[in-house]
Amino acid sequence: MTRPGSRSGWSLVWAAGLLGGLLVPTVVLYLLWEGVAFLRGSPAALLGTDWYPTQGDFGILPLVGGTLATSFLALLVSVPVGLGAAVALHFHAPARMRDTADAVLGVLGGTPSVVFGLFATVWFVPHLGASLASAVLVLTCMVTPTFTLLALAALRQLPRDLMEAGTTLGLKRSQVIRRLALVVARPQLAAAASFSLARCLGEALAVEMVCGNVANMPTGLSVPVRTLTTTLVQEFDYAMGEHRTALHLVALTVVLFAAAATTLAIRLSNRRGEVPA
Amino acid sequence: MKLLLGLVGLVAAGVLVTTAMADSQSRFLITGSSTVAPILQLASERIEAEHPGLLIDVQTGGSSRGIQDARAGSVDAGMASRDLTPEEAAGLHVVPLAYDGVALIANTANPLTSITTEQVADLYLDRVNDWSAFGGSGPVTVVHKAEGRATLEVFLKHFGFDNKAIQADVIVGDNAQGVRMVANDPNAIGYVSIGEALHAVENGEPIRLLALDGVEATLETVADGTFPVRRTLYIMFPESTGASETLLDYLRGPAGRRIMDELSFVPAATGTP
Repeated sequence: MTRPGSRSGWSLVWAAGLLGGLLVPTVVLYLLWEGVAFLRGSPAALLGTDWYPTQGDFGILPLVGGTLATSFLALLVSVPVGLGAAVALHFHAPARMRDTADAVLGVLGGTPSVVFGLFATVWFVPHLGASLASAVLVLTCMVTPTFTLLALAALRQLPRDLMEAGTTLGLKRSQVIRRLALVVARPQLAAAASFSLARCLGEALAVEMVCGNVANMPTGLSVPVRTLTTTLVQEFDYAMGEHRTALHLVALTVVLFAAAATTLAIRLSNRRGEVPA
Repeated sequence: MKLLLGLVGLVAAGVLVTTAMADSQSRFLITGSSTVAPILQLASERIEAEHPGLLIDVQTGGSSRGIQDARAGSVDAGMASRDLTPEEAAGLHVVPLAYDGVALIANTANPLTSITTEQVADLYLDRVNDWSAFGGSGPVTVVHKAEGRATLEVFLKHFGFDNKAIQADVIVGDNAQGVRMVANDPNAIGYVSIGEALHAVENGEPIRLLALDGVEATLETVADGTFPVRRTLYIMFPESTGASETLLDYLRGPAGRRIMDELSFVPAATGTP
């Protein structure tokens, strides 16, 4: 065994990192390779609004609409709720409560999505139907704990003297939180939201169990919808020929969406918020 | 240089692990219909116990895939839960294993016990949206199947529907998901394999198989051929081998028939063709 810190030990770590880094482009290239026949043939067909793949209709717009609608609506609920929870826990809660909350959030964040899906089929679907609303709710349940944990981490990174300086200047505690803490942490909080968005975009199983899976445009909360990922779950194993090729492009679309959200998150998290004068 | 060595080392380790996982035993690979798969899964467990050294691997992926794989010779057998076209069947040894029906199912809270072809069309083509039209109450939840599934093809073909004309409220993947949807929703109507539906009823799921045009959906009506939406479950072989003969003998024998009974299918040997 090599000593930790020895040069050969490090080369192994580097190699592992390099392999990980190669994996993403490999996946993208593979999906492109498998989908290229479709792109050569009739790429414009993808921009249609009808998804009947075994009858030659390959419009992915309803699937893109379903993915964006479920993800962004879920964030619309998760971010305010999670931010409120993170502020309350970080600034107001006693230490014991904070530790308990940390543990609970950690467990929730690590719960497999099929568990959320089963919960939602029993509790949401009977009231809301298999619909956009049910899909948004299940995503909200899944992503709020994750967002709260990331937001808490962002608040913990704040320099302590910043708060002290604010108090010294005679600001009230609520003002310190709103005008200083949340402003300085804003890029990290936005990064937390972007990471949460990436998770929503990529979630498949729990959504598939409650969204209805009909390729409708998301025109209302009670409409059954289908997302890019749920299409893969339902159809990939059973698809052949052109259908299968098109599904590789559906997969590529999700990967690109999620990659965009993650890249945004990483760029944001390296930034530091400006305190207004 | 060291980086390169590390990289090579990692790749080598990966290759070693994957080859170690691939079994050196003779593997009999079967792919295709998820409706037929449980028969083969149960059979293979028992055959493997009697024939050490024979490893049967059953993978689902739909009837069309099963047929395609068998035709390409990339598997040892394919499974299908729909009839093969003459072009598909050419060159394959196609064996009917069992008969199954596709039944309309409703929640037990729904007073409906039978349905007509006309009513099915009303519900699936969005001409009727509320159960009050048929003596019940509440908005209808139309449960439909995802593209690429044989049950969907059998259903569309029997009723003569164009898939694009169907206004579904929920699209499900496998039969189990269809049963779950109808079990959870008092206003839902769906269609699934009769075998699977009878199995679910036995397990206490709150669903009811609806009689279609006056014919009860039971194993008896599937067996005597009176139930209108019937299909044959097939297994097909690209070539005859020792292992395929062993499998076929087992499936056609009394043990195979017991498996079909267990799964609520009608063994092909006992039904009216």
